Formats: sequence, structure tokens, C-alpha cells
Amino acid sequence: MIVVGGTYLEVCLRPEWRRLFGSGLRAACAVAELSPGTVVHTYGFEEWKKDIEYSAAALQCEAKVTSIKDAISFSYDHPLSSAIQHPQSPKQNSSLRVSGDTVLRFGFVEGDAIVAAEYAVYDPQFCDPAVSFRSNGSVAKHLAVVLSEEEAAALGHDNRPAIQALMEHHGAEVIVLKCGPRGAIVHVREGNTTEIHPYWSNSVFKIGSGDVFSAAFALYWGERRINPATAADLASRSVAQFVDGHNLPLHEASYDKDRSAVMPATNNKIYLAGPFFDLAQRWMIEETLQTLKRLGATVFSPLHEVGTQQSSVEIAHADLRGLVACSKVLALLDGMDPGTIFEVGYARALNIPVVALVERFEPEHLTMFEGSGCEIMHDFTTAIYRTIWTKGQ
Amino acid sequence: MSGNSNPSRGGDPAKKAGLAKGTKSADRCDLDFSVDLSTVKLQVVRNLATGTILAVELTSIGRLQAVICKEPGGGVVGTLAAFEGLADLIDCMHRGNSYTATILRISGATCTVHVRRKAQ
Repeated sequence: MIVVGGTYLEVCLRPEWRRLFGSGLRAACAVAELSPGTVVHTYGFEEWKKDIEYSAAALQCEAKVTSIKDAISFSYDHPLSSAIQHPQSPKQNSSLRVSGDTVLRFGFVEGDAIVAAEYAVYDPQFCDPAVSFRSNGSVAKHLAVVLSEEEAAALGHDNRPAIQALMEHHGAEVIVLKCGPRGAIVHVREGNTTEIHPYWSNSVFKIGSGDVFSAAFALYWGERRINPATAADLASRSVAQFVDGHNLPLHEASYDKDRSAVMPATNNKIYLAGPFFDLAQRWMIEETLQTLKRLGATVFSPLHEVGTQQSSVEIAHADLRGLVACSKVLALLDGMDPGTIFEVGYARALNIPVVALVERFEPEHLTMFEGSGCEIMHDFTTAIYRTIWTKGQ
Repeated sequence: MSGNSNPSRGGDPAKKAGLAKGTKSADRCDLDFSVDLSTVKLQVVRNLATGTILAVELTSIGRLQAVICKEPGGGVVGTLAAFEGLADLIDCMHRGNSYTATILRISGATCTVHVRRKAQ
């Protein structure tokens, strides 16, 4: 396969991450074992050129790097936070030109790629999806466009007329909308719309999961000529392999038949339990609340729904009324706040599932939580996904 | 003050020292950094424990070379890849420097190692 996409420095605070990947290098590394001879064409900061070439070789693919002056980075507080791009407006470089039987093209912040392919998959990434794949002279006999969560949300997941118009605009026969923890939706020209489940993984490292989805979809649809819905299902299974520890290269997703699908939740109202007595705690509550909402969850946050300006009796009763109306609890346990621990115990007594996020802990402090069936997570992203997800059969 | 500095705020992250850009400027091969292994071999890593010291070796892949980490029994655990300074590490190994990688953490498919130069 030919991949054309960026190689950037990725930095994350929690979990700590400082690596050279970006869409292009990651996607090539993802499919390298399943598509021997994979080549990634990329721009790369001149001081990273050799690092990129050696890294690609170590991950069983080849990198053809066009040196550039900007060291482009994307920084995250955590993998579900918005990325900060640096520099914000990198110099625009001459377009890369690639051709091949199957080409995966990502959008760039520092240039463009002109593609000629039999089968092409286009993931615009940072670029405006309204700018047609073909507008820069790219050609493909068969084209699929894969849109990110944000682009898909802006378009409307089930807005068939808008999707049909986008399909016509790009000259695409397939549009795939990535929907994060809710999987993906595949729209085929004059065909069916298929919802693709996400698949369960023990942990979730979210950075780059969209790159891997596009890479696997290009492999199964573009290179292996599998129908779009099945290819997207295999891509979703591939993402589940990847996110469990940034696990590359991918192995055959079809071998993962035992992997459980994540089922759409019904009445999935989340009780957000956690302390809010100082700035750090308050920031954490706000960040967690906004992240859950952004991913489509309905949340009862005692801080926001009940507040702190009533009597102890009124607050306790209102909080607990909210708790019993929820289907799951996400408990922020760091600091072992008595109110939060009480809420966890109350929930477990009512058999309400609890996901507990604990970054700092003494093992002996977890005895009752583990013993009463709480899911203990040590990573924010995994805790969020476990809260939203319901494991299928 | 404890903990690590914030790499995502306060300027250009790329200007901060990369993982394998030696912090001791007098000797650029005196490398000391921690990184997650790439291409982790699950069947090998599941038999290892925190504290295991891995050998760091070069292997040829086409016209290029890669850095692999081997457990004491000789099995490949994973590779060192996808970070700033990988080419410097390879160059330093060519110049006769040897390194070890001590396992700091194993969690599923994630194996974090601490790479440092062996005493000469």
C-alpha cells in the first residue's frame, strides 16, 4: 500500500507520550505486516528525517521523507483533549505526488498530496472536507472518504442528503463517518447505510485511533477489495487491537472473531462522583463532564445539578435521588474523598455498576472497591470509555 | 517540586530535548531515557517482569538498521522506534557504545523501558 500523510511529534501529559508518529507514519506502520512493501510518503522536519526513516524500517515499512523546516507537533493534556498544533501556521510546501494501486491519502497542515490510484481512501484530517479530493488534480477510479468524529458530527450522522451531496462532490462511492466510542457509519452510493460497532479493548489509548481505522479500511477495502461495510467492521476490530497499548503493527482482524462488540447503551445516564473542593478537583470534574458529554453521554453531576448552597440534608437527598436514577457511576477516587466513597458504596449496594478512576493509590485502599465489583481504571481515557461502553456478547 | 515538567505548554514542544537527545552535552552518546517499546512481542513480554534487563542490539532491515531489545534468553521483546534521536542512538551504537534497557512497567501490550549506556 502507498500511504501519504504527515509525520509529527506527538506529546501528551497523561499518559506520558512523546513520539514521532502522525497520521502517515502511524498508518503505514499499522498495515506494514499485512501489506508487505508498504511505503509512506511524508514531509518531515529536517532534523527528524533519519529518525523517521529508521523508525519506519523498524516497523517494517519504508518512509520517503521530504525534508521541511518546521518541526510540527501536536500536544494533548490527555488523549481525549483537543490537540494544540505548533506552529499554528506552518510553511506550505510543494505538493507530494504519489501513484499506486491502493493509496491512503491524509490531509496535511504543511502541504498537500496529489494522488493517482485505482483505489484511494481519503481522510481529510485537518483539511476542510468540503474541498474535493479531486480539486488538486487527484484521481481515483474508486474513492472512499473517511471523515473524523468532528467532521461527521458537523455533517450529521444520519443526514443522508448531506452525505449524498458530499459523495457527489468528491466523486466517492463510499463515505465512512468515524463516530469515536460509538463506532462508525458506512454510506455506500445508491446502497445501504451500515452502522459499525466499536469493539472492546482492555485499555484505550486514543491518539491515532482514527489513523489506524483509515489504514485498516484502506487495507481491507482498497487492497483486498472487501465490501465497504465488512471492511469497516474489520477496521473497527483493528482499532480495538491498536488502542490496547498503541499496539502496532496490526494483525489480521478476521482472527479476532471472539472480540466482543460494544453495544449501544440504553438509559445510559452517568453519575459523576468526585470531589470539587479545590481548583484541581474542580477542573477534573469539569473536564470529565465535558468529555462525557462530547462523547454523547447523559450525565448527572452533583456539583452542577445540586450544587453546594443547600443544607447537608437537602444536598445528600438530592444527590442520592440523582444517583438512583443513573445506570452507571464514574467515580474520581484520587484523594479518597469521603463523599465520593460513600456514593460508590451506595451505588454498589443498589447494584449500579461503578467505574473508578484511580491514578494515585495504595493497593490496600482498593480492597473494598475491587471486592465489591468496581472496575478500577488507572487511565482517564480508559475510564471514560468503560463508563460509556457496554460489553456485548 | 516533584513530577515531570509540562511538555505541552510554554512554547514549542519540539524545542525541548527529545527522548534520546543526550542531556549531558559533553558526551552526546551518554543517553538516558525512557520509552515504550514498539512492535512488542506479547508472547515474550508476558513472561518477563519489571526490572528485567534487556540487551539493546542493532539489526539490519534492508539498507537501514533497527534497534531491538532482547530478553536474557535471547528472544526479541520489541524495538526502539518512533522518537527523536533514534538515529543518534544508532550512530552511537556504531561508534562502539553499548546500551541496556531495563523494564520499568508492563501493562498489556505496553512495555516501558529505561535505556542507558553500559559502563565502558
